[in-house]
Amino acid sequence: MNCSSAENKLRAYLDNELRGSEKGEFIVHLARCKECTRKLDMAGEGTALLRKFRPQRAPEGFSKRLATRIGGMAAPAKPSLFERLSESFREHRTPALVGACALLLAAGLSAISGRIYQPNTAKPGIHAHNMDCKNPADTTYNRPGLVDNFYCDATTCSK
Amino acid sequence: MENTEAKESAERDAALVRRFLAGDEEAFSSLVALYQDGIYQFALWHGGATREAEDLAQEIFIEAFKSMKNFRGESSFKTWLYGLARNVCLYRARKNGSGRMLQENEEFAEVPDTFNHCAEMEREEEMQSVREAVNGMPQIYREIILLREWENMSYEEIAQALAIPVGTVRSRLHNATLLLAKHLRAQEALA
Repeated sequence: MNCSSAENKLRAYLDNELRGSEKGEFIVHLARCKECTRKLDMAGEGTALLRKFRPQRAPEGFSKRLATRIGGMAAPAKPSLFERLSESFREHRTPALVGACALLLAAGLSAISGRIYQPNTAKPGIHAHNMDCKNPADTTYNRPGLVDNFYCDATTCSK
Repeated sequence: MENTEAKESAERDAALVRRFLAGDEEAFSSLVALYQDGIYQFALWHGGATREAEDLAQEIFIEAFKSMKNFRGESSFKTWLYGLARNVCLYRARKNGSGRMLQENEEFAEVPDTFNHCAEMEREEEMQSVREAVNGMPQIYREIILLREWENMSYEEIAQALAIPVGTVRSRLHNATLLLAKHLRAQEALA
């Protein structure tokens, strides 16, 4: 590293903004170069002064006058359910994706095995289950609209 | 330490932005209270006179109020706000036909004689002196000093807000620091 390159890094070094090999090379150069060490002291003085910088305060009543100007404007509308869901998806993209994949996988496996969970709605003599039931009596109790559910006589059910 | 402070202020701002977007206008007032001095100073350097600067600073906050819905949280609110401030100032300058290219080799303006560096100097006076010294610097350095020393923004954030490369932030900050140090030494030599 030469002096010109090192000089440009003085302030970044003081701000701890130099990383890895760049920082290493800078320190090695500094150990060898009196002129750059002198400039580092100077930069240190300048930095210490600049850190005391405070902006001019906004005039008295600034926020009130701003509030008056903004008063006539509508606040941003509350986001719709869709926007909130999109935002939530964006913020929690990874967990949402994992969850969605897990759900799809579970649904796929269930469809393949054909074993969709059904609550126990059994009545004496008749129970509900899915198409795996091979009992010919099933058709007798088939209900329109319940594609996967057949009803059979529990006493003769093949399951 | 500095990183922790920056993280905390970013989280505080993000919470205020969420509240504002949920319809809480008080949250916007809190953001104004936090940033009005910095934005006013930024506008003062761009707008010139006090009254114009106030008008410009208010325009920046009004623009923030209107376009907050577009804030995606990809950067900190502070970075977004100063980026917007820069755009509003540039737009205003173009509109008024007062826009000019800023030069790296702009001269260090005459710093008022009140600038002095005495160990006994009162804190308030010292801050005032530093501010005056910074006011005498070229515009390209002043903005970076404000964002770095007052807003504690990282080089990366400053680069994003001002739409310049990180290397430029580094060299401008370095030049500003040495300018001030040299100026200080010259003042001491004269004293």
